Amino acid sequence: MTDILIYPVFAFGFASPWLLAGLLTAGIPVLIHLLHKRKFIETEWAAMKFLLIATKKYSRRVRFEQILVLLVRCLILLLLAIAFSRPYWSVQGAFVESAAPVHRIFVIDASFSMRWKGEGRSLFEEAKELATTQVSRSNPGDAFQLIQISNTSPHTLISRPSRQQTYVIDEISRMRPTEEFGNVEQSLQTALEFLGQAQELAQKEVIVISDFQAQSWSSRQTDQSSTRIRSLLEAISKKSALILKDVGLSKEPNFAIIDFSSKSVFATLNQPVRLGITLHNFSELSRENVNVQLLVDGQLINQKLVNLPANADTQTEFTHQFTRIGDHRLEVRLAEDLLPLDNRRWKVMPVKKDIHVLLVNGRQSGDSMGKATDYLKLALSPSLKEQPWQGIIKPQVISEGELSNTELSLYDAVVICDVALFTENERDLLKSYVKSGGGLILSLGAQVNADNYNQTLFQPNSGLIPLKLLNRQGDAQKHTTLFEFDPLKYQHPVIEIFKGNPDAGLETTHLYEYFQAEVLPDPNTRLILSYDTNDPAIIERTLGRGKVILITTSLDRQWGTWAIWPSFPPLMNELVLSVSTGKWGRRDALVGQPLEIMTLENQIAFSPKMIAPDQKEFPLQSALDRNTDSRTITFNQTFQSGIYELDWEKSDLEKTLYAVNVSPRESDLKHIGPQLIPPEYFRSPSGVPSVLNELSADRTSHTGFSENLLFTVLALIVVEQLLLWRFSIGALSFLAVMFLSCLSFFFQ
Amino acid sequence: MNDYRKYLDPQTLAKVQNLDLAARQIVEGYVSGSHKSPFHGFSAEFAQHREYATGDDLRYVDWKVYAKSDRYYLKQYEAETNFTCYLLLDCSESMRYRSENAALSKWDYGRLVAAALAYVVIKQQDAAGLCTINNQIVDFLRPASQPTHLKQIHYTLEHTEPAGESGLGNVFHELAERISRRSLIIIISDLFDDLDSIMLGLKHFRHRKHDVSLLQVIDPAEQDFPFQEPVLFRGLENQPEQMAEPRSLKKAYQAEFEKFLKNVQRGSRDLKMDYALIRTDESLDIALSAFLSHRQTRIGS
Repeated sequence: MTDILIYPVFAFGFASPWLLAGLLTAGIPVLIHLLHKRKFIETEWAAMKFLLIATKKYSRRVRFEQILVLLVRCLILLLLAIAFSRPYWSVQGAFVESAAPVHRIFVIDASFSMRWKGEGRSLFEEAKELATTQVSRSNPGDAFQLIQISNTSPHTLISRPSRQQTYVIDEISRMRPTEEFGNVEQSLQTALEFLGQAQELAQKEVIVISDFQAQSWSSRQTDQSSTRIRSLLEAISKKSALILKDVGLSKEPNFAIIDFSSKSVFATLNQPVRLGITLHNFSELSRENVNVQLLVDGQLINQKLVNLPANADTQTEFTHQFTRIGDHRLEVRLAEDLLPLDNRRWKVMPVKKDIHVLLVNGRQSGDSMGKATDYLKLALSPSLKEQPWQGIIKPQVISEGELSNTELSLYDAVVICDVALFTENERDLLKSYVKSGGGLILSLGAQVNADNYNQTLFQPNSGLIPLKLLNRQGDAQKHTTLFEFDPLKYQHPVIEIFKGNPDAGLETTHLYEYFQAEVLPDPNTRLILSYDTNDPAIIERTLGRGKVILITTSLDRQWGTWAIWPSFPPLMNELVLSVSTGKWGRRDALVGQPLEIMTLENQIAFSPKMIAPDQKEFPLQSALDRNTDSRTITFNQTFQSGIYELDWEKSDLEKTLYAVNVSPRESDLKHIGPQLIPPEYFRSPSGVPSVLNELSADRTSHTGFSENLLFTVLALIVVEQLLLWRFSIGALSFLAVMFLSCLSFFFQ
Repeated sequence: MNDYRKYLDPQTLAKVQNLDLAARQIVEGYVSGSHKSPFHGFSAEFAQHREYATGDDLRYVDWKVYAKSDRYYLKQYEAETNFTCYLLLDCSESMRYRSENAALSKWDYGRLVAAALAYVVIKQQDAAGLCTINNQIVDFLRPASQPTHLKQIHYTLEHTEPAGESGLGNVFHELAERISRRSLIIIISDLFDDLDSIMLGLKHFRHRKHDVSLLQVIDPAEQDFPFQEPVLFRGLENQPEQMAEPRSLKKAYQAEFEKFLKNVQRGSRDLKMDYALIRTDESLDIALSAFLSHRQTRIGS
C-alpha cells in the first residue's frame, strides 16, 4: 500500500481567521485613554499645595498604574479576539502538538472493483475500516463530509459538515459497494466544492481511499478526463492537505465477460440464434480450460471450456433455438474468481412469432404482379397454395388512400411503394409513427412526384429525411443505361450478408432508372448502398426511436430487373427486419444507465412496477417523451446487475424483461502506478509517516488554545478589578495569571 | 436694606440660641462665672442690671428686684465687661473657592460664622473685635460691646473681598503683639498656608495667654476630591496651573490633605486650642453648635 501525502510539517493558524479583525478592539482602551486626556474641565483650586505635592510624589507611580491597567484592558480584548479566532498549531512528530478542529472530507471509492475480495474481506471493507478508524480517532470539533466514488448513485453521503462522530461512523458502516464504475472526476469535483464549506475551520483534509484503478484514475478513456483529474487533485491539494490512501493491488488476475450479444434484436421460434460472448483475461498469465456456461431462463443449457490468453479478448459463442414465444432470460457464467461480479452477464432475448409489415401500394393494377407491392409481398412472404409460408414476417397490403385511416402502431414496419403524392397530414402521421419506434421504407417509382416529395417527406426541417430528389436518371423504357449497386465495401450491417457471397447477386443487380438524390448533411443519415454512378441508392436515417429507409428506385419490374433478381428477397427481408427493431426498444443497459421502456397506447392506463434482481419493487409512471411523441417510462434505479422484470400487473400481459450488466471498465484491476499521477503527489511510505498513522499516534482530545485564552481573559478581568482596588494585590495577581497562562500553554 | 441682616439669618441664630442658649451663656460662664475663668478675682462692684434671658444662670438673678418688680434681672458686675473676643477672619484669595456643589464659598461661610459669633458676643454685651487678614492685616476693628459696633463689624464683612496671598503666621505674630489684653481669639480660616509658620503664630497667641479657637473652614471638594474627568486646576494665590487625572490622583491627594488636617488638629491639641473643622456644605447652625458645645464641654471639664 502506498500513502500519497501532502501535509505541512509545521502549521500555525487560526480556525476562524476573519475574527482576528477583533484584534483592532485592543486599540479601544488606548483610544479612550487618549480621548479622555483631550477632554478636560477647568477649575480654580485653592488647595493647590496638596495637589502639587500629590502629583509630584505619585505621578510616576500613577503613570505606572495607568499603564498597567491599560495593558490589562488591552490584553483582555486582544486575548478575547484571538480566542474567538480559534488559534491552533500543529507540529508533526514534535513534543508539542495541538490540534485545531479539522474539516475532513472522505472520498471512498465504491466502484465495483472495490469488491475484490482477498483474504477474508473486500477492498471496500478495508477502506471503510480505515475511514472509521480515522473518524473515531479524530478530535471533538472536527467536521466530516463523506463522498463516494460512483457513477450514478449519489456521490454525496454527508453533504453538510457533521461534527457527530457516531453519525459519521454510522454512515460509513452503512455504505455498500456499488456495481457501477467509478467516476473519479465527478467525486473529486464534489470534494473540491465541499472545501468551500465550513469556512470557520481553516485546517482542511481530503482523504481519498481507493484502489487507484488505472481505468478510473488515469484513464485511457480520454486525455481530457485524465488532465481534469490531475488538475482537480492539484486544486484540492492547494486548498487542503490531500491524502491519497491506496488500498489497491498491483497485479491481481481477473477474468471477465465483457460482452454478451446477438446480432438479432429478437429471435424467432425454432430458428437457431447465435449468441456471441467476449471474454477477457486481465492478467499476465494465460489460463486454459476455463468453464463458460449458458443459462436460459435459469436452466443450464450449454457449457464449454475455453482458453484465455493473457491480456487478450477471447471470442466464443453458443447457439440456441427458442421454443417458446416471449422474453427469455439468458445468462453466461465464467468460473468464479476473486471479483465474481464481472463473471456473469445477462441478456434478454425476445422471441417473436410475427412481424407485421404494412405495404402501401401506390399503383393499382389488374394485371398479375402489376401492383407496386406485388414483388415485395412475394419477397417477404413467398407463400404458395400448397405450402403456406411459415416465416415471421406477415405483410399486409393497403392502397395509398387507406394510409391515413390505418392504425400504424399495430405494424412493426411500413413500406411505401411508388406512391405519387403525400399530404402533410400523411407526412406527420408517418413521422410520428417513426419517432415512436416504427420502421418506414420508402421506395420510388414512375408515379412519384418529386416536387411533392421534396415539399412534404424530404422537407429539410419537418421532413423524414433531409434530402432533395432531383431528376430521374436513365430510361426504363429504352434501357439506354444500365446501373448496378455499389455495396460501399459492405460496411452497413444490413448488407453484410452479401459480403463474400457474390452469388447472392447484389452487385450484379440491373437497374435502368432511378431518382437522383442530393443528401443534405445530417449526422443521423447513413448511406447503405449507392449506384455505380455514385448516386445514393439506399439511404438510412434514424428518427426518434425509429428508422426511415429510402430506396431511390422502384421495388417492382418497372425500373429494372431487381425484383426478380436473387438479391431482392434477402435484402428486402434484412431491410424490413432492420427497421422493425425500433419498436422493440433496447432491452439492455449498463449499471447506472436508465432503462427506457416504450408503452403502447393501450398500456397507458396501467400502473406497472419494475422488479429488480433483488426482488425490490419500484412502481413506475409513464410520461410523454416529447422527442419521440411516444409515452415512455424511464427507469433510473439500475443499481444492480441482473434481469429486471417489468410487471404490467395484468394477467394477460407477460412480464417484459430487461438485462443490466456491469461496465467492463472496472474489470481491469490494473493499478494506476506512480507514473500516472504526478510524482509530487507521492511520498515514499518509509519517508514521512502517513498522516493517518500520525494522527492516530498521540492526538488526544485537545481543546486547543481557545479555552485557555478564555480562562486567561476571565482571570485578567478579575485582575483589572484588583488593580483598581489595591494596586499591589492586582499587580501580583497579574504576574501570577501571566505565569500560569504561559505554563498551561506550554503543557497543552 | 440692611444687607448685614442676611448674616443674621434668624433661623440660624435662633437655633444657635436654642442650643442651651449656647453662645452667650457659654461665653459669660467662660469669662466670668466659671472657676476656670481666666479672670479670677473679678470686681464685686455692681455695674448694671440686665434683663434675664432664657438660659442665663439663675444664680445671678437679682431676687430683690424680682420681689419688687416681678421681673427677672441679672446683676452684672464691672469685671464681666472685660471679656473681649477677637474674630480673625482669613480673607486671602484661597477663601474665595467654592466648588460646584457647595452653596457658599469659604469666605461667605466664614463671614457668616464671624457675624453670628459677633452677634452672640455683643448681644451679651461683651466686646467683639474683627480682624480680616491675608498676608497682612486688612481691617482691624477694635473690640467694643455697643450694639452699633455690631453694625460696623457687619459692614466691614460686607465690604471685604477675599484677595491676596495668605501669610497667616506673620499676621498672627503681629496681632499677638498688638492685642495686649487676654482675650478670646477665634480664627476662621482654611489655613492653606505654611502650617509651621501658622503654628508658630498661634503659639505666640498662647504665649500671650490668649484663649484661641480655631475654626478651619474647608470646601467639601477639597476633602472629597470628587472629580472624574481630567481637570486643569488653576491655582489661587499665584499657585501654578496643574493638569491632573483625578481618578488616579485622588488617593494621593486625599492622603496629603488628610495629613494636613491631622497636623492642624494635632497642633491645636498641642497648643490646647479649640479646633473645629467646618465644611461649607454643613449647615451653619450645626457647625456652630458643634463648635460651641465642644467648647462648653472642654471648659466644663
